[in-house]
Amino acid sequence: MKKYRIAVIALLALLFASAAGCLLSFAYGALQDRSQRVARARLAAFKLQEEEFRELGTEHDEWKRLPQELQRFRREQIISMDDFARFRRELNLCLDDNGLRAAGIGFQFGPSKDRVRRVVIGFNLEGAYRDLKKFIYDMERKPKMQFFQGIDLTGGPGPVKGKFIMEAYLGD
Amino acid sequence: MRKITYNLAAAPQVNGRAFALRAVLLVLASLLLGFIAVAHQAGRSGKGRPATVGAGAIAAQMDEMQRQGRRRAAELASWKKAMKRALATVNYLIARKGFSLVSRLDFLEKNFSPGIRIRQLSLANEDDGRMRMTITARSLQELFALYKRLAPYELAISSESQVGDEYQVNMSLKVPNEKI
Repeated sequence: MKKYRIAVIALLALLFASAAGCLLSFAYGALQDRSQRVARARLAAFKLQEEEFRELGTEHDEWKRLPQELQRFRREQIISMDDFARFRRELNLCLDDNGLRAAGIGFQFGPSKDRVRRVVIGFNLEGAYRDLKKFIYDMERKPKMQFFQGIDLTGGPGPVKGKFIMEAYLGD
Repeated sequence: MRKITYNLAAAPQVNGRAFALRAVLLVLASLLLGFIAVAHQAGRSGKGRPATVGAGAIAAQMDEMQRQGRRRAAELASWKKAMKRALATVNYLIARKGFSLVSRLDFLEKNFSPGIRIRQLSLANEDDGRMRMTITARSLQELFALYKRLAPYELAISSESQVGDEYQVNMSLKVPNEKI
């Protein structure tokens, strides 16, 4: 009878140990899950911050380059005083090339602002629509900072009459 | 006379077969629990752990990024303050330089049929960028076909009159750069 009792105790102990092991395994798994969730959240926060940091870095680099870009813009786009004579020659050349004559070109020089001066150029033209359009096209293609502020075209039985206002930006 | 039977055993008799069956069941149950525990752990390790970086290393890197981020944000704020006006001026000039009158004339040529004539046209290089014009048309049919074509461009008709056999219209429309 004693050996049966020992066997029963041994079997129950084995069962208890297995159940405890199983429970411990689940508990350990849950703890591991929790710590992994925390690690994942930390990693996600890190990646988010890294992304924001990268974007900030890109913006920072762009703004850091801005002074050079502004200098380049000024050098390449703003018309220098030396170039202004060339601009006037080019304007006359464009008019001649398209068989147009500007009656009374007027230049109005504005005040200097941030070392840039606006010049408003006004003139009237009369000619075929195609010639006027070609003239506008030629002037729009010029790389420097000169553009049409506005035009008024009036068509009739004869040639098209146009009132042109241009702007040019001169550097001091 | 009735026979008297005495059971002189000190302990109850155990049925060996039944005991063995129960013992086997207990062993099997223990093995099953053990198997479940092992399978659970094996399954977990099979899933693979996420690439973990040491918490300390991450915190140190985050601190460093925050420190550099604060420095960069401060520099950006000062640069923006110093160069905002110059940048706005340059962008304004670039936008105006990019405004093409020829493209707008092309647009009008493309959309106006031969029976419609533009008598007067004003184009202004402005944000609003409305083209104002006076046109004449020989037929109502052509005029309404033109209205239909120009409707997507914020067409505004201010007046329409009939002079003889012609229709004269004052109207304006807006053609943004991206639509030409």
